[in-house]
Amino acid sequence: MSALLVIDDLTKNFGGLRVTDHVCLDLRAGEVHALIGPNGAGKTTLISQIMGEITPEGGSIRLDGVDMGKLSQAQRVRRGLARTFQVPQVLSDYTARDNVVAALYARGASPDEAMQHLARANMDGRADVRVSDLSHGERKQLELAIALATRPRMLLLDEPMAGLGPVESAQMIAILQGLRGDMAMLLVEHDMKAVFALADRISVLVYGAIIASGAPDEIQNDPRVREAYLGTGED
Amino acid sequence: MRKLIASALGLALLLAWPFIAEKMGAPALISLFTRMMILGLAASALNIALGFGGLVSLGHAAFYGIGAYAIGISTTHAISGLPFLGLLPGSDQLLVNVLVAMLVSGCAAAIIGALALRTSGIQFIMITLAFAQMVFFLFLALKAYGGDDGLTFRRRNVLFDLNMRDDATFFYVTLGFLLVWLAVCARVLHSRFGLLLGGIRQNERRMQAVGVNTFRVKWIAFIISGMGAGLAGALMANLGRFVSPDLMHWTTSGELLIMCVLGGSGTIVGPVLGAFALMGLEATLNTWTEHWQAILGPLLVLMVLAFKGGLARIGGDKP
Repeated sequence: MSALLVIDDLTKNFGGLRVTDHVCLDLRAGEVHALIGPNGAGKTTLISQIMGEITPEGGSIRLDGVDMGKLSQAQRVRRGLARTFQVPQVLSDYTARDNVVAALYARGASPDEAMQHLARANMDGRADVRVSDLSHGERKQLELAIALATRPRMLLLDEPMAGLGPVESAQMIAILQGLRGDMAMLLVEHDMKAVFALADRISVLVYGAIIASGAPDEIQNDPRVREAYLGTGED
Repeated sequence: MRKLIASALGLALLLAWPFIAEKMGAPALISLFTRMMILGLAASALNIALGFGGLVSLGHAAFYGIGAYAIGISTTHAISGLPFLGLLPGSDQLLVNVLVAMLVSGCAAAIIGALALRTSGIQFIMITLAFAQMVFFLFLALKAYGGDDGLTFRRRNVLFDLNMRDDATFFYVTLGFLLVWLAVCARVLHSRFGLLLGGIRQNERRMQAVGVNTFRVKWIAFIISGMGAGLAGALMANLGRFVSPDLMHWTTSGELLIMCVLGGSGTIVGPVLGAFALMGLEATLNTWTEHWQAILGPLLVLMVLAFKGGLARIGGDKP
């Protein structure tokens, strides 16, 4: 598989704190690539830089060979980047359907498409419910439907399991399994069950730097990763 | 259904108002209600930015005043026969002047919005206020058009063969403009553009994440809003046949904000209800005591607390 998203030597500081430390990462078309690491490692900041919400100080981000550096967030979305948020960012006064319709309008598509995107996120039965009446898990699913409505080639998922119970997590994993192959996914997640169920490859980010990258079993057995993040299992 | 009936009754009352006022032997009430409708239109214009887009502007008095001055200047030149800046002829035709007023106000909103919309929150409020005050002082210094004395013109603009000197006729002309404007607001609210604008009001970050150029959407809303305020200014200038920098004072922007909040920002008829309520209270209290403002202030606070969401949302959701 060829690389769809290539991040090269990306650097970002917040004052004296280096939050992205010469990060190099490539994501292949159709793969699920998990990005794990302790809290404060810079995972969400990396997603924000890919989307253009935060400007990096050095390095480059290329999608399908095109440099994203000069593009606005709207232009990046049009080229196929989409994201979800750790805390769902939804439109509380609208129904679930109108949340998706807003995303469709943004790319000039017909609102008739809304139900198909809601169905892919298992939210078609809640289409006409106001978002303020949806549960946290349903908002997470809705956010996924909104992202799908932008027709992404590269979906950046920021902790999709955060705040979900075991049943909702299992449902979210099943939904993401259903999307596998349709688009590449960068999965930022602390839930290791979800990571190992979904990821084709895993990268580990610690203090802004990638310390390991590889197949799930390689990462699981990497002593540096065990020490820095996964734990030794001795305590 | 109740909202529809209430709207129909309100419209029927407005249609009958000139006759009622004449029967009551109080023809001055016709002009008072015309004034209420014009300020309701101005508040409704602000509502596109404030209620639909979440943009708290303290600068709409500038667009309102610019619209009024467009009428005053154009009419003065039409009467004198001298072209504006030696180039443009004046006009005393209402439809021509209203279009000019909306165009000039829209241009001002485009320029101010292009700068102000790069900020948000309290900075946006302050920068719109600052621009409005700049415009206020500009017209205050404009001696050619009356300076702080303002500009008086002899007759109202011409509309077809209507007798525009007659207050009742001008009342119905104003009502016509108000209804057309409210129809435009409803169209905006229920359009693709309205859905995106409402989305930005609720969560701008979400809208940016789906690829919406949120600056452009807000800018267009701000321009439409400025044009509406210009239309209201044009009507107000015609009502009194007088314009002055006072129209642009920041307190006018504040009053329009109060009308929106009191009536229900984000609703179609709310700002108009707010204008009627505020001006009705002012007019009533004014006859009781010279210290009417001391009563009006606490009364407004109580009303806003009692009718959360505004008068238009009493007994249900958005009308």
